[in-house]
Amino acid sequence: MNIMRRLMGLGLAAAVAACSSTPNVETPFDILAGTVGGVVNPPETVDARDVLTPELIASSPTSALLAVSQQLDVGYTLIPQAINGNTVQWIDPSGGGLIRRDGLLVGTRGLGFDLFTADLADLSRALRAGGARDARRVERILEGDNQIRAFTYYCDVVPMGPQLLNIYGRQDTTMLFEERCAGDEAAFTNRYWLRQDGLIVRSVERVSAEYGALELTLIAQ
Amino acid sequence: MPLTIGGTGTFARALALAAGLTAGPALAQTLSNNSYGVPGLIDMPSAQMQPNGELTTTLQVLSNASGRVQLAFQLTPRLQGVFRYGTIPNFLPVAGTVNSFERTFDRSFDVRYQLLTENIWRPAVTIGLQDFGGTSLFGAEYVVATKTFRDRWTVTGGIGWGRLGTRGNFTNPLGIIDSEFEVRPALDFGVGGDFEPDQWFQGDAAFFGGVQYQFNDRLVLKAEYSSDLYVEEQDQGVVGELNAFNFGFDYEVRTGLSVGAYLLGGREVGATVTFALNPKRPANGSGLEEAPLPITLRPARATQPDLWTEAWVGNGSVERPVTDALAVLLDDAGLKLIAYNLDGDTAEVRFRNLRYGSTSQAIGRAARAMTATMPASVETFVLVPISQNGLTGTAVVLRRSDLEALEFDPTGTQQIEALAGLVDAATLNDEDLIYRDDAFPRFDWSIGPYTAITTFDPDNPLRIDLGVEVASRYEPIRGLVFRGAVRQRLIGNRDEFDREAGSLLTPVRTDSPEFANTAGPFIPSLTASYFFRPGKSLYARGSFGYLETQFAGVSAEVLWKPTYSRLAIGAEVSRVVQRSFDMDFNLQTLDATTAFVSGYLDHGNGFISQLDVGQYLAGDRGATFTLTREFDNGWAIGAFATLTNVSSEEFGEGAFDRGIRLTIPLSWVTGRPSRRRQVLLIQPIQRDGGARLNLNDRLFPMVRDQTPPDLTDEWGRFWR
Repeated sequence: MNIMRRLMGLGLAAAVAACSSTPNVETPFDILAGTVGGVVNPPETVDARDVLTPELIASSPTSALLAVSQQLDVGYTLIPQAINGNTVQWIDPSGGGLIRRDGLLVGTRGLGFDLFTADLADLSRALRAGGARDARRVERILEGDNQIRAFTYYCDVVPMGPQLLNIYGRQDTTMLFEERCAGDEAAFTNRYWLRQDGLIVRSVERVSAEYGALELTLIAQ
Repeated sequence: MPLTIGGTGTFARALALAAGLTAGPALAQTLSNNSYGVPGLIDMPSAQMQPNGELTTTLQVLSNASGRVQLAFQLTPRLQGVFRYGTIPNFLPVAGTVNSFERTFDRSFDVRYQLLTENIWRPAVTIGLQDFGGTSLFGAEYVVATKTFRDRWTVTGGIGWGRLGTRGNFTNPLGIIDSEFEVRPALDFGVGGDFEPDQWFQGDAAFFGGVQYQFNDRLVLKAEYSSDLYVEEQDQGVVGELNAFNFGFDYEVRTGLSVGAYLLGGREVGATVTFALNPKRPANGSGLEEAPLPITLRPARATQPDLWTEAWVGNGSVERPVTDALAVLLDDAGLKLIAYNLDGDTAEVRFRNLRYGSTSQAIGRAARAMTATMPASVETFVLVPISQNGLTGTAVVLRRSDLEALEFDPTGTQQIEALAGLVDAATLNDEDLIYRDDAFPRFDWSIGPYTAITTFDPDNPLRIDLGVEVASRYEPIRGLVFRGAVRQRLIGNRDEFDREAGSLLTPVRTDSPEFANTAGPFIPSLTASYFFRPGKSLYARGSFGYLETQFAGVSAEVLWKPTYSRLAIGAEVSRVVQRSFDMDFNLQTLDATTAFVSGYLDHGNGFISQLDVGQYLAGDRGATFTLTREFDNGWAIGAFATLTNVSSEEFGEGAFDRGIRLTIPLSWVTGRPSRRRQVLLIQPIQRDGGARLNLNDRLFPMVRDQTPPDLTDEWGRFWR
């Protein structure tokens, strides 16, 4: 067998790399081909901020969130998938999701360096009370070795004054709060814009040290 | 063959991908390595240790065309092991010639232990054995201390023996204890590979030391006084006369990759490249897979009591759509519904996990699917994962109301783990199980490329075959599995291995090059196997056919592993005949019987030991001890050694069988869920002594995956 025939054989092998009887389960070659393909020929992604209009939002039959990754500068929308008590699971078009309790981010899924769970009872009370000192925030991260590690922070929740937000034509009078946290291996600040009825219509909340923060805007209620 | 990477050979690509993907903030605090692949200066080691679990690969080249590849693993926070493959040009006398020398390739191991950690008052202190078995080409022992000042300055000083005791040396101070320490006996090279403990810390000693300065976040400057005179290299004329001072730098290109250069003794120039990764820190955190299906809440019984009725039990017009819907949701989640048993308040579901490396994640996703489909009256879920070969392990019993209450609880993982019941699935009543119509017969096939890699053999550090493989698997009834593959090598150089084996034993493995020479299509394996549960805590396998590339025959195995036990005991017996070198259907005359009793002990904290005692392929008898550090994400790094009643001389080059086994889960590399794991076997020399069959489906790895403590150790993924 000459070298050309061998190389052609290899090319053929690569071409059929994804052939198997279990199409619902990705083979390593599917994953790698997808990854390499994504690098060589990146799929066209539409940033939600480029297509959202007041009219489009007004026609939404359901609540919707606009999430913007501050580190990646990518915007996408989410809609509620399920409600369990005061916790709402939101889903994005790629199958990833957010978990919010009382309008506060308590979990993310599919971002890689996700926030697994968060205990924000103190923060929730502080926002209702107009601020607080040393509000306890406990975050849990599912680490790479499948162990859950908890991080505790103590946060000052500080009212920063009223702000008028224009969210795609909707005027919202809000009070801005800063949550200034320090604790296990990090210090960070989250921001929340609360309407008078207590609804959080915008927030900038840290997901993890690696991922950075998400800006979340409630664009449809 | 010294090292074989089996399977469909995605490792090289996967690792290349990992190199790209690890450019995140996940890896941190990797220390600058020396030219021997351990934390240190240029040639001299320091007392520092890499972060726990850190795996570094250091490539070193010198301007005289010598070089080393070093794989170092931080086994515990204080214990580090190193495998090294080095080469020196014009070093080895050519047999039958005078003053003619050829390049030598040398494999060696180091081990180092940190006796004292550094604190504000004292330096870290480490004791090390460098190249402690084998030819001792790089053989040295040392005790070294290192102290960091103001975060930027690191000062190191130590005393060395062997290679590190050749410049400015003095009488061994350990002679105070015993005068025998003052003389380092001549190395009994023999066949290489034997430990030479009578060399350790013997003979003249010398001081070494140096300083490194962290110029900025990326750049480290180094200067050292070396106690290595490069005696052997100078004797062979491979290097000229070197002064004692070496200078260099190390630059971190990005997290996980650093490059360095140095001036050795004012004469030679060297360069290093270090890749670092840590099994505990994958490139994509906890994974990129989609969010799970939410738990579906039942309506309150008080408001809708009709939905809580058990009148549906035994009604096929209800059960059928319920289980059909469950099958669809499980299929979406990468799970295959095999069988079920529905009762008024209990539902048992047996399923196969096709997607997730973590069984607990598969259980969590199956439980979510059950909440979406089971009638409201069903309060108890019994989830039974079935292995790819049809074996059940531990059944997980969950209360549906717990799932509903804890889905978003901040401590839901710990709580659901505490509330879950774990029972041996063999104790469940399976008489009322209803198997899905599409569960059996099951036929799977795949076509794709494969690679076979051999590295670190005595003549060439890397040999690779690439080809195409057609594989299939047929399971007519649960547990009876026919599987096989056909491969065609298209390109590669593994057939160029032509080292004379010269074995004094039955050639059960030294014929490996003959097998690698196959040019036509070949059958790596073709077997019929039956897997079953003889009783509680018992697992069994019987296999027949072309068991591996080199042997065909019959093999039987039984394993005892109680659900909660950290101890498992197994027995395996095989009667085999050597296959033809073409790996077709023909057999040769060489036959063998092997039998082993194996003990497996999970020590906790990720350490597992295995002891196999029995008769090996060549008829030699002895034991193999394996110590593995396993991470809960599937990464495992193990070392094994076999001693049998074969002498070093009979065994031949290497003296006894030993090696390192690396298991890397594909999901760690890609961030996407996958059950694929790539196994790398680094075995410096595979000879005939201590050789075992390479069976595909040994029971313990399969059973471990489905039983505690492995099952519960990764419980963090239950809600993921």
